[in-house]
Amino acid sequence: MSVSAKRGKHFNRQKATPYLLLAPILIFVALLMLYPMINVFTMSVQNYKILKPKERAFIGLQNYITIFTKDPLFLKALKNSGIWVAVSVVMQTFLGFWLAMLLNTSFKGRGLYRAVVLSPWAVSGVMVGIIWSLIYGETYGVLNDVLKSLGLIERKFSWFSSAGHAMTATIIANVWRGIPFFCLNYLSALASINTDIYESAKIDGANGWVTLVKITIPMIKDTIILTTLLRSIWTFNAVDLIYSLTYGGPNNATTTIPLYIMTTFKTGMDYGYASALAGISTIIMMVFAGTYIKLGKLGKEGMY
Amino acid sequence: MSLKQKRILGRVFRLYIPLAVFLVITLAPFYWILNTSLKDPQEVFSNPVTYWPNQMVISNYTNLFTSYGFDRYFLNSFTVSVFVTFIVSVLALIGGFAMSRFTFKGKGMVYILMLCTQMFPAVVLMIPLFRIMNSMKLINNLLSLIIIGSCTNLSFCMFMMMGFYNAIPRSLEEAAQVDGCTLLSAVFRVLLPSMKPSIVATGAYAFINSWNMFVYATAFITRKQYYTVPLGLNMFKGEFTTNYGGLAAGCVVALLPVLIIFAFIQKHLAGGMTAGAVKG
Repeated sequence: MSVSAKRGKHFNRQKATPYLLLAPILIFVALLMLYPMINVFTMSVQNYKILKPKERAFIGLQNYITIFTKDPLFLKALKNSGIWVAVSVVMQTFLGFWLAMLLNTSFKGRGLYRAVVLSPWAVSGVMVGIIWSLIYGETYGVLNDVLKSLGLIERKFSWFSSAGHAMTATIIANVWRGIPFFCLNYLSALASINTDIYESAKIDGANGWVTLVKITIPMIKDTIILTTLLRSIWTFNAVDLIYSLTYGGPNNATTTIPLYIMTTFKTGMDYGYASALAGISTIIMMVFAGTYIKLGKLGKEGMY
Repeated sequence: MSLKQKRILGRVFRLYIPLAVFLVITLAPFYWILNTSLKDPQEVFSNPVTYWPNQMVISNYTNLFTSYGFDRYFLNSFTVSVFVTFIVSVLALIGGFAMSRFTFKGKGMVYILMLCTQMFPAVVLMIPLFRIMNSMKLINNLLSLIIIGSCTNLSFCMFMMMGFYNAIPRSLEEAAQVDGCTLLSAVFRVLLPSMKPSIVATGAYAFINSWNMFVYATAFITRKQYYTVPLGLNMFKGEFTTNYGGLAAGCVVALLPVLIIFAFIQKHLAGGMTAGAVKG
């Protein structure tokens, strides 16, 4: 073998290495995430009910048309999803940012405090649902008791019998769980700000609020945009908390789009219709993400 | 009031009081389930509610394992989580290395692809994945959860690993290669030892996520003998609607492993989060 051929072989092996290293991950993702994603769209244009296998056929956009014109529950779920995402994310952004600012100050026992206060991050949605159901319980729950002794309510009531209360209760549980996620992201962004800039702002006579609004927030703008975007998508998709806390009730007042997909799939066994709902929710998220990034003028460095 | 007093007062209002409020809000729910789990069944419904059990009992905990089959659920959850943790750690370690140390055609594509797949919601993928698992006869088989648990955690863990590799100077393994090591042995002898904490953090992240896996579990598992802890708890809530003490005890036991793991790794989570953190 000549020297140049040997070199060429060596060069090729070098070139192939990253692909070989990434191959297992890419195969996993292609087979179990990309292919299913495409599959959802192909199923969504079929009449595909598990209990009626003989009727399976291509029906074009019929499922989509039915969803938009003859399905009041879809519109209700869409509205619920909007409220659920908007209120949750706004509250989590505010509280998470506040907590991050606090944790960015030095005080005794900060490491331990941080580990404790961020711990809801690790609690699963199902567990959050169950924990909070024990708090909201009409007679055995602690919340009614506290509100009553504070004189805020006259008698104990059921949090899950009226639409407004049920939604409020679900969002509060979700906010409790989501604050640490925001906080973690903002913390690393805050840590990257050079402290010299605060010193010079102080010398120029800027007070705390001015520094916050004119320096801190603009400096971590990209993180705020990215975090709220990712969390909006995640909150939109999150189904386990609602599933275990209210299961969409009362009277579908807390049914969001993903929960509606889940019940259509699990109890209705209507794969075609559920897939069409899933397709719509995917498109909604893509449009939302695109607009959000454009409006926020997200800098590229924020992504990488 | 002197300037010093004013400053201390400001610190109390601006720092200590908010810190205390956040702490109480965080801990109160945990305290409440612990409290409920230690009450006997009658006391759970006592009016007014008690903030500390009059009579502490541990029967709620023992019943979980002797009458409600949670020993099985825990074993199932552990099996799934341990396998997922192992698979994800190994693959993310390898893939993260490629993403951090090589420039190659299509790297940007891989990056975008992996970011995007993290936004694919479980409820959407659940439908086709159920069919795939069904055709492979993996419904009511823990293997289906191991496969999906690994797949859904891969991309985030790969990004995490990539961040950790990036923090280690390339000169380290280059020096070893100059000294005559092959790339592979350079990685094993020089790079891996300094990656140990990062591997632990990534693995712990995968463990927590697979321990908490729910949507896929409800879709793939219907027989009680294959239930994982979240499924067991959710069924408990539906079936034994009045045994709140038992439900609370189940939560406490299910929370312990993840909270302990979280306490140790939370420091490592901050850095790699923003890149593609869609998961809670």
